[in-house]
Amino acid sequence: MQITIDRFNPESDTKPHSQTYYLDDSKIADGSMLLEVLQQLREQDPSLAFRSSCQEGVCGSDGMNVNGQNCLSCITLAKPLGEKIHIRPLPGFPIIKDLIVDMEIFYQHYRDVKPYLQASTENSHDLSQEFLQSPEERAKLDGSYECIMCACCSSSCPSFWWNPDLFPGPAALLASNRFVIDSRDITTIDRLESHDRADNIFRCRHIQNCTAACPKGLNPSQAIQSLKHAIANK
Amino acid sequence: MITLRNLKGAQAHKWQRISAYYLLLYLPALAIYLASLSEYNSLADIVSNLYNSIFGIATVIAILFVFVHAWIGGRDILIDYMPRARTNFWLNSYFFFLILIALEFAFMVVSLNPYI
Repeated sequence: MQITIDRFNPESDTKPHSQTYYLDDSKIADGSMLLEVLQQLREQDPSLAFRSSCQEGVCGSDGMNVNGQNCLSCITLAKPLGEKIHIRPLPGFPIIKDLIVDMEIFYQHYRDVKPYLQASTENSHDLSQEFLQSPEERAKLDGSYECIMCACCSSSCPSFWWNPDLFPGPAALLASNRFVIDSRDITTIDRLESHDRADNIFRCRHIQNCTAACPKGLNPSQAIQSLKHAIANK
Repeated sequence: MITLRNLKGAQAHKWQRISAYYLLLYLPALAIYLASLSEYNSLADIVSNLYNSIFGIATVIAILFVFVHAWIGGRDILIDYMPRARTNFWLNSYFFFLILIALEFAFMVVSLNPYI
């Protein structure tokens, strides 16, 4: 198997370059994940840098671009990717080293949408008081809260590439929509108004790269459409 | 002055849709109107007829909506593709360019009016 990796070391390189590695096919089982391939490559070349933590698609730390598609290396089977694999860091983010990118702007957008419940202050001081929801109201949140913040969606979005400092990106907007549709949250209008700018949610063109890239099978594009609808009808 | 920060999203979204729906209805109507004209009508007759018909009013509204549609569409392209340092300059330039074309159009409407 031939694996080409886009590499960059800020201490020695002026621009990224590709490096090709070869692995014996016998070392790759049918069920081997791409992360295992990368770990074998790191044994060959200890200078190869990439992130990984839980190794089971929960922490979202090993997002990368594989053969042009963003994915998590720990839950992506290596064999179906073919004999030649090209791995790049997540597009649209500054590269720290090799496959490790600086996701600060992604986290900043997430913080900006205030991804936490802002319920009525009447009950907030009474910690024994629960904020009750009906099963139907709770069911609306399915598909909105499971995001693992891997940034596969935002880094596949051209609107995010063009305006990374202004456009919140699919992950942050999915989180925002999660609280807009939450029956317990009382700041819906404020949340909607914060997005009502030409350089914010309306930069989304619904090309659905985000939905195609999400390793958890979520649909940020639909959430953005729902937010736009709510803003237009508020 | 127009700045990127003070441009609204939802309002533009609505006007973009309204203008698109109107033009979607108007353009087939324009085709039917032209097809229904006598074969030997001159351009001067067609223009003259527009000043006497409801279709003439619909045409003026359609052209206004073309400007609205062009402003929102062009504005979005400028926001997406122009280097940030000069976005406000290009937004203002584009807006004034459209205003100039609108003035030119208004002048044309007045000057072609056969009753003045």
